[in-house]
Amino acid sequence: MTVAPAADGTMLFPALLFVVAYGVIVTERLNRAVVAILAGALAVVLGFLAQPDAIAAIDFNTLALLIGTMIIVGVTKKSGIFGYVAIRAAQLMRASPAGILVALSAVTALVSAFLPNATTVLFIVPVTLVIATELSVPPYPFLFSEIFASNVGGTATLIGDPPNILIGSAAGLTFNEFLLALGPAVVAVFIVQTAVLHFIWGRHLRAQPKFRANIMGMNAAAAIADCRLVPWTLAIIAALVLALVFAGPLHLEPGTLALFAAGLLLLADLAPRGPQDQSDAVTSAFQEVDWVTIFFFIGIFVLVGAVARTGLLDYLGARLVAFTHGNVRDTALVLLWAGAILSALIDNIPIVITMIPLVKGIAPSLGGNAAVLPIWWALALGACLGGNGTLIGSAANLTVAGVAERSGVSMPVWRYNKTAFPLMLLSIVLCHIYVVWRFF
Amino acid sequence: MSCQSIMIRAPKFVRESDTIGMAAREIVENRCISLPVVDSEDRFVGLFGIFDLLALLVPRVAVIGNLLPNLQFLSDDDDQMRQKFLSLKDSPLQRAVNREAARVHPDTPLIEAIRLLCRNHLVIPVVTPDSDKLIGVISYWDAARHIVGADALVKS
Repeated sequence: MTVAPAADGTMLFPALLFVVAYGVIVTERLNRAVVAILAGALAVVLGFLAQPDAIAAIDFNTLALLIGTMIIVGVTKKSGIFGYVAIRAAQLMRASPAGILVALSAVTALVSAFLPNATTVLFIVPVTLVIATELSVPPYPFLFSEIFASNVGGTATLIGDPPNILIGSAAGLTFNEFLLALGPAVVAVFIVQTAVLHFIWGRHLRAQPKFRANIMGMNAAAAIADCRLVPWTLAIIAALVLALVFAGPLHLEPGTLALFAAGLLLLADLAPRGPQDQSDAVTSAFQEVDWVTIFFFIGIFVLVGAVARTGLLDYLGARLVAFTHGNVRDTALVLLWAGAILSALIDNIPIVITMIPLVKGIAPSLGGNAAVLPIWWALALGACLGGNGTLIGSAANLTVAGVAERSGVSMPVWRYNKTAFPLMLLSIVLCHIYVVWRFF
Repeated sequence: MSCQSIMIRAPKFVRESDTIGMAAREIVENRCISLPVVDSEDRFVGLFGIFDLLALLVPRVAVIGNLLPNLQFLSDDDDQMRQKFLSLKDSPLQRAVNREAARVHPDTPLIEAIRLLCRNHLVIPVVTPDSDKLIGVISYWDAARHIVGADALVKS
């Protein structure tokens, strides 16, 4: 058992900067990337962290994985393949609104498991809005269920959700380990959540036969905008997933694989184009990278690096271990619930970046890296699913709300939160049971 | 040279309390690209034009940004489009007004009005600086005629 470090005055100013930065992020009065960059830079300028240490605090594997998958999404979007899938899913349900609610959620969850969920919803939501308009039914239940499905689906894999990318990179966990450890919990949460949403909305949704005929009359194949790109897209995404499954034997980091796959897909997209057209296509693909999120990550990495250097996170970790009497199960459950609640209230990315050094710090006192594996899984479940709890909880939520707003569909924060928060708590109860049953 | 010198005074306009059908008739009958919309006190509130009218017939998500590559998968025929318009024509214009439309003041330099015309491809309303009351519009035909001197060219 390690001795808990004492809190002292050197922790004060970095901790203050940390609290102020997170406070401003929560208020959403300033763009979160700007806050993170300023706070990170201030930590270096004020000498809380040396410049080489600031660079070392940035997890470039995470950034590469995010940028790579975002570029893949940018190119894939042009193919129109996901529009095709969404329309076919709606037609498979015979255009029944309740069936479509389930089918589009399932498609969203599945795609979110293999592509970043904030961008996955960008594929599905526009088609969903068209389908809801054609059916003359309110789009809100569909958008709500897709937010939940994207966060739940993204929880299942290493690349599905930024918290998992962060945890996987920091703890050296593989794609397969994520899928095997979290997959069953994700399936259970998805089934329960779908049943609840059917009870709340699905069973009340009705569409006139003439509107359902509009959906059945849709030509799904026409949604494919670039036939040449479709096989390349599918093949390269499948190859990326396979490479991630075998990333261990290949001795390659997920970020390297994602950037390699992005490069191949860009090459496939560029092959038939002239030089000027190539430049436009590459610029357009790079514009799909969510630079706000990337720079948010960079700033938070540096800020948390500065706080970790003071020993504050070790101190908090030691307090946590003292609180749970060094019991791994209790520690995992505390982090499951704390991760969920804090992710809902703030944003799951900074929470996980903060928790990672804390968990790494307590690992030796809890029996080493192997012993704390359940804690990583609990943190991943809490952070990813906690993001469902409020509209600001995860990037996917804000993306859906933004597209909805621009499309004339109101998605008020309070309306979302009053249904989402209890439903999120339900999913964490399920995860609590799962973590205890599966890992202890 | 200011906007005042080439603006059309007392332009055609519609009120935000009018219906979409009334505004559509004005646009089609007068072949307008866009019409200024004013409130009950003649204050400019936005524009409603041919593209706003046509955009009402397709799902809004299809005309914002670049979210949908195409709408070819929809099977709507012209009869269905007409039905869509019929269901909208009695709705208040208020909900369809483009409130982001740029506006200029009488003393705004003409070069700024030309920049806005090039960017927006719409008429530019001219409003009073203090109360936003509509006093004129600048169309790209008027701007071009003024600068190219088309009238003089025709005469010569």
